[in-house]
Amino acid sequence: MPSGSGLSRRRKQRLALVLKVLLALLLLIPTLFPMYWIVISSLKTNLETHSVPVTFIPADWSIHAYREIFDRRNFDRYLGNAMFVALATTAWGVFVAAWSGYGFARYDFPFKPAVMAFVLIAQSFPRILLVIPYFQMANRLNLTDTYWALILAYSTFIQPLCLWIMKEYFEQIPRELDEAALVDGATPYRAFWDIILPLARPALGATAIIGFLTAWNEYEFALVLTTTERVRTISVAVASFIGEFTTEWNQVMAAAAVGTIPVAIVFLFFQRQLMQGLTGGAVKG
Amino acid sequence: MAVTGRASAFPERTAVRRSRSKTHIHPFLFVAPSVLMLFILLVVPITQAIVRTFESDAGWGFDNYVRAIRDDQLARLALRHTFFFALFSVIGQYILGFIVALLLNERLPLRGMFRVLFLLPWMFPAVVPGIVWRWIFDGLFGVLNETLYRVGYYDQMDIPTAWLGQTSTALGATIVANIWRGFPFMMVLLLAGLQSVNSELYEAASVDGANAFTRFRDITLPAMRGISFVAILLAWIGSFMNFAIVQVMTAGGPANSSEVFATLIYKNAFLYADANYAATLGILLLLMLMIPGAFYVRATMRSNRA
Repeated sequence: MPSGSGLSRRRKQRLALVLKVLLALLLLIPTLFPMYWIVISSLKTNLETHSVPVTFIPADWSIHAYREIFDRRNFDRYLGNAMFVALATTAWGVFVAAWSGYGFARYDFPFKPAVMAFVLIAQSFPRILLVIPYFQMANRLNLTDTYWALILAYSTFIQPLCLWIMKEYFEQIPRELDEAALVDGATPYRAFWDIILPLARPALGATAIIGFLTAWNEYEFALVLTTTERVRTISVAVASFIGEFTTEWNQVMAAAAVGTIPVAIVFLFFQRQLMQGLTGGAVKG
Repeated sequence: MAVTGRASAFPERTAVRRSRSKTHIHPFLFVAPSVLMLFILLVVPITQAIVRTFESDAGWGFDNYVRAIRDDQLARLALRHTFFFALFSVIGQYILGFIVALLLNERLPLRGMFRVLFLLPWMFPAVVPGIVWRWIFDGLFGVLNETLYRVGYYDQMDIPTAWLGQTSTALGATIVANIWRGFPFMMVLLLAGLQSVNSELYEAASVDGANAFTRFRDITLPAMRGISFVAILLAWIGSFMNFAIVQVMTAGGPANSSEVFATLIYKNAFLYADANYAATLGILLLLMLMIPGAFYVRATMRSNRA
């Protein structure tokens, strides 16, 4: 009976769909629970975070922890520091990546394959190795506890990935466009700046997001290159709220929540560009 | 339109003009900023670090390397933990990432929302995953023990497990946190791979009567080999050099039971003030990362040429 088998097939498909949605929801529980737990813990009193049985919903809702991190722990300072470092890293890092990415996309020069291979392999340089000479270098140059040390470190650190993304994107832009501008008498720099760069806006967006997120989220360099709250960024601050003997977990969680808000905003608004930028290179093969 | 038209109208002239007027300075001026930055802030520091590895209390020589490779039991232990950490992190991230990618590749209702929600763990500042999982695993006030208590895992008289405070479970707990943080990126890469599989292959296979499992085994898995390789390499590299999660959750403890290479390097450099030995361990870590790194470079350069 053809109609009967068609119906049962449709029912089977619907059952399969329901099972898939259920599985997705099931997997979402452990994925989202830690975020729920950050928010819930931050809205408890210090007493409640240190009592049993542990409550899944605060018995005593309180925004005391948020008030404390701003009033007593200077969290606004750390947020401002992180914002300045992240924005400066983004501006400088993306400019350099775009400028040089154009060079990689359009010109041949001696040792180009070797330089490109180095750029790629630089992504697997462990930060924890780099912080040792950085720490010594920053000390010698009196750059410890300055924004510059962090900005330089981060904008270098994002170069490999951003440079690669820009290069790949420029290669997709037809060369005829640059050449036409050159025929008209423009310098290569004008051709790059006026004609090609505006066309690369999606790639600029992706690299800018990567720069911002990297600088905002980074821990190792910030831990070693800052010694006071003057330039300390939120990663180090949040971790430092965990005390050796006692920890006010509601404040730690409030700090984690507030420190995540800016990246969450960037992430939610630009996740599509970010994904395209990140997967573009890797998926082609 | 007019611009491209003119360029293609005189292709030879353009080429001639370019090669004659090309002062060879342009390529260098374009490439210089990034390459100089990478040179001054990556090559020079690493070279400095390498030079220092040959300097120890005993003078110049290979003493640091002999110590790291032959004598330092802790380094050997940390190496084993690092392998363990990376291996199980990658396995967990890959399996979870693949399952979620397969689900999101289906025509689910609210697929876009599911995708964003599954990506969320990946956006957090590096210290946050370690911090929240440390709190979840807390022996006294942790929500994990509370849950286990409520489902009857513990008896009334049991002392709840201090997951991060005992040597048998500390490293495992850090791996859980690292899987949580890392599987979304794996999922993104695998989902992009799934979406580039030719859908006509599936249709043809369905017509031939292949069931879902056969289609998965004979079409999906082979098509995903390339992207899986790259994704696993990146996840391995990231986990192998991970510092933030372990440092924040256990700082390598208790009794070095979760000591990985990165935390050991940090301890040597900044707690024991032995920067030269720390640099030696760092160079060894770098060398171990160069192996997957080289495979990654080869895979990327090859796909770049194609």
